[in-house]
Amino acid sequence: MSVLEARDIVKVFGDGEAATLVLRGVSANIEPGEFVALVGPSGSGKSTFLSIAGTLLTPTSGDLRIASENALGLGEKALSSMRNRHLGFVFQFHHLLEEFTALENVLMPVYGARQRIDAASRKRAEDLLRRVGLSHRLSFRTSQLSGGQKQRVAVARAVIMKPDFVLADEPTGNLDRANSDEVMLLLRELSHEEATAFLISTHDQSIADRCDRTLSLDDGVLRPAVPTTQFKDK
Amino acid sequence: MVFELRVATRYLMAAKLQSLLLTAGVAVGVIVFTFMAGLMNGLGVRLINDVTGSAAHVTLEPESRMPRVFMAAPLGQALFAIEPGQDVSAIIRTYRPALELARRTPGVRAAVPEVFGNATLARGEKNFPVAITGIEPNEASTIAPLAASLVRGRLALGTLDIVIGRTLAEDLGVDIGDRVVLRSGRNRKGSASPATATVTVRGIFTLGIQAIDERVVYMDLGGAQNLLDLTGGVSVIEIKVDDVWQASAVADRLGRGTHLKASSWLDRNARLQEGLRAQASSSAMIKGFSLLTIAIGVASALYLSVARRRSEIGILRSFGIGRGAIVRTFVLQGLFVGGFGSLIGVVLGFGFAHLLLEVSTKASGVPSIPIDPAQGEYLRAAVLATVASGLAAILPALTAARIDPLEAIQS
Repeated sequence: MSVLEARDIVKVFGDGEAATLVLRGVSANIEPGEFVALVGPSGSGKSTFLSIAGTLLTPTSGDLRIASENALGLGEKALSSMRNRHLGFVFQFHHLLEEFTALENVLMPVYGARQRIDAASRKRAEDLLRRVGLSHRLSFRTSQLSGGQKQRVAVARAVIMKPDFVLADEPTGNLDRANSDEVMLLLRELSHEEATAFLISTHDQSIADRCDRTLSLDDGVLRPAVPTTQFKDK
Repeated sequence: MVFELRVATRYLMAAKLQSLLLTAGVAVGVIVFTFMAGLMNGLGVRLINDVTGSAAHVTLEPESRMPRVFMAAPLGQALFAIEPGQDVSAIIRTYRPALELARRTPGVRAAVPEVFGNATLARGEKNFPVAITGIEPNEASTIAPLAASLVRGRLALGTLDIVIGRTLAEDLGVDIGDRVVLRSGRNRKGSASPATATVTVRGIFTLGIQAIDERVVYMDLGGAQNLLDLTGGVSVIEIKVDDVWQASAVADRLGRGTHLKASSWLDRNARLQEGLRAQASSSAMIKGFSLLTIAIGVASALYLSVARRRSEIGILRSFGIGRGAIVRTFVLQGLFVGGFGSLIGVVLGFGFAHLLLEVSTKASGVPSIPIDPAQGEYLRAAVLATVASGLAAILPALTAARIDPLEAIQS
């Protein structure tokens, strides 16, 4: 069972003469636990594809299934529920809620699922923060954390609901090299430990090199999936 | 709702100064509301008290007597002469059934029989025209607060005792214990001269109403009946009701039940009614504007908050927090600000009204600003201000809920 099945995804922005074709029939599958990079030059459609895969954007045509569930034509509530149950997000900017502690930020998706914050949820959030190296920062407000620490809190938040699939849009784009390496290592380890698939959009080849395979978008067309090593050889 | 409560309170606490100013704005609006309510209601009560305090709420009297035949018409029909102002001295001869009925009627606080008539009060060379009011001694303070208005003497009304206003006492140059001659304004039946009585001044009052203080003489009902030659009858039955605004309804009911002419204080003060209505309308408008100001303040502050937290709202939406939860989060903020602001406003408004009353109260005990702190409509102000704040939060809340998560995150 694929966590992502995208078939012939087309996305056109605008209409008439102003219409811009951004994705020209992209098809891709991602399997459980896979760690996949999405690369391509600026304007190639990476972010658009990532947004469609995350159900944040509706394609003009095509089919999309998340964890075998049809993800198109759903109402607002059903989409929210699907995102909550199956998907996690890490963005270039952490987008943490400044007024809340690191622990509360990690627990936000649990609130979103209308779940009570029970001992098990709290323990999982604490374990995740410990796992990302922030056991000593649980009750710190996010304004008291460094940039790298904030992004690690965002990573913990992305996996708190045990999603099938995490979409990461330039997750290290705002970090220095050391923090970038740390976060990538963390994503990789969490992918294996949690059996969660990751699709990481990046323009940094060194980050793509750390993934199982790479999807390469160019002018809205996806090249055939290639193992990272093969990609590197080219 | 736990999520919404948590986020709403945290957002408010995060922007402490803004929340404080917003709450203060709501509080000021509530103070204005309660101040207007206390002032206008107090003014209304004072006006009504001034008008009805010393007068009956409902009066039962006989229909005016038909004027006597003036001359016969050529074709045998009667012609009548109508002379406005002529004292025809109609009386209620069998007043006790009507009095009992009035006393049993729901909403009636008290009903007393009274005798009215014109007379002259003389001492030595001085003569003054007076209006006699005959009342039962034990009911002397039922209509006008005579006992409370006494400045000298006591309210002792024996058959040949009187109580008079201070102005009249000064004009006559009499004091407590002085004897004066009271001469009826009409001749006795079958006699060419009016009845007279030598009476003793037992009390001097001041009701603050010039017409009464300089002209009215209170005396025992029986004594007045004898003097005015109205034995067994009374001029009116005067009634006080529990709710002054129900006086007309009580009057209608008693008019039908007694076949007497029943009129209420409202019938006699139509212009006052109009004035009070206009005053109530103005008060409602000012209170409405204060609520509108609160609503605009809350809405604008929350709009700013939504704009500032666009990306946060986007991220919340991206991991599955629904539009309903976002709406509730912002509406709760409006309700919290409205609730706390109202609470503070009610407390300060109550204190302000008391302070104003105290400061404006003169030595005489009468406040120059007729505010009544008890009538500040505090509960209504708090509920309306909180509801207005909650409703005002709906628009920014809907704007927040419509934020496209992708657009917000990318921005």
